[in-house]
Amino acid sequence: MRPILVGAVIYDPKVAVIWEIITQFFASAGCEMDCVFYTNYALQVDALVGRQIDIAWNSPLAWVDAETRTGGECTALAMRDTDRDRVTRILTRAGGGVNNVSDLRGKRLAVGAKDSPQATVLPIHHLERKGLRAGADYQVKRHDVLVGKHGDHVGGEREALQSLVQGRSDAACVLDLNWQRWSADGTCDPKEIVVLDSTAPFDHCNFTALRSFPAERADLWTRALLSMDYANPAHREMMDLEGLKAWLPGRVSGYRALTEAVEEQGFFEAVRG
Amino acid sequence: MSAGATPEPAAAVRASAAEGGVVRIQSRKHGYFAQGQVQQPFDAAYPTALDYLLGALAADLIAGLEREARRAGASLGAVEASLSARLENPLVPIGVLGESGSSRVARIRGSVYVSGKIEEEVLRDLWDEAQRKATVFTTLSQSVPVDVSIQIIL
Repeated sequence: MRPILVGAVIYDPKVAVIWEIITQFFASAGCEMDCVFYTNYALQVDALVGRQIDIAWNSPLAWVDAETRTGGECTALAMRDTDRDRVTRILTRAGGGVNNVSDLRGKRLAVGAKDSPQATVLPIHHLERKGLRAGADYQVKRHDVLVGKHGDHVGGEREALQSLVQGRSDAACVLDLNWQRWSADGTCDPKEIVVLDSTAPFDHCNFTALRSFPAERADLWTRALLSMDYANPAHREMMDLEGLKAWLPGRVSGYRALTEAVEEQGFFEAVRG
Repeated sequence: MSAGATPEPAAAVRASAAEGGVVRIQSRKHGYFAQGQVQQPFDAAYPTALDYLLGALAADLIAGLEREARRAGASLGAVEASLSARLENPLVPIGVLGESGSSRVARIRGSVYVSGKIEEEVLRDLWDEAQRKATVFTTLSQSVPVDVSIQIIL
């Protein structure tokens, strides 16, 4: 029987090393897997839907794409603890005249890449819910770094933050984890840059399989993944590299807002022409 | 004797696949191992093919410089090289689908540091001669920009 094929989008060769370590872990757990790397999520979802791979490490946008294209025939096998209940922080300059969301009217909002769920699609949706329409009520300043990778690369968010810091924008959108890091490591001064608002919690990446993927194979693979233990030094390195303390069963309740957002914004229609 | 009249190859190796993606290489009486082509974890057991390529270039340049210095009766003291290679697209050799470009080395840069009582002009002459005669260096230089500077460290 061929190994379980797991797809991943990578933008840095170092990430391939992490997957090599994970592959070796699965082999030692009695579950043969191999990795297939893609340059963007569109190709990876194509491969999943076309059954060229069995499981895809999907961004939230790729999850919504796969669900849409299969008519809801996808299942989320697992996710990181850090994928759950993320929020996007909408930041502004302290004393910059933007004291609440309605003050963004007529202002410039710095966002990430056009396909970043956390730094573009979701915050625009959040503001729409609060009565502010992108383009009509405020100006969107996109930072399209590595489009196709769904904002995995933090470059777009970092550029958005710099745009705010340097006064080229009046607000900026970044993932809460990035805000935590950048406000602590000196990237920006948390006395000068403050949180204006936050989106509702959403979930980030998950391992996606088609429902037609044999249940016993999916169970074998998921059990092996969930057996990773942060207390085990042999597992800790790869878990640190992937930014998690525990793998958790997949859930799909955290993608509702993004599903609404892509419909509202006509995201995939725009992408596919 | 002209180059074409030499019937024997200047170097020959044999290599075979071993366990875990390791390649065993044999040259003359020496056996050594390589693991992977370009990228490996920092704590991988063996160097990659690209590590060996850079190592071969460094050895070629340092050994050549030392030989030229010996012949000239110059004292070099310590000699150390630091080299790095950049690929045209590092995602290609790891098989990322959808990537374009090539896995070839696009540029090699580095420095050779020499400590010792030697005049800079003398060192430059030795260095030029060493580069001119260096097989790995001249071979690589024909296909990729190789920019290696030499510096005297007091």
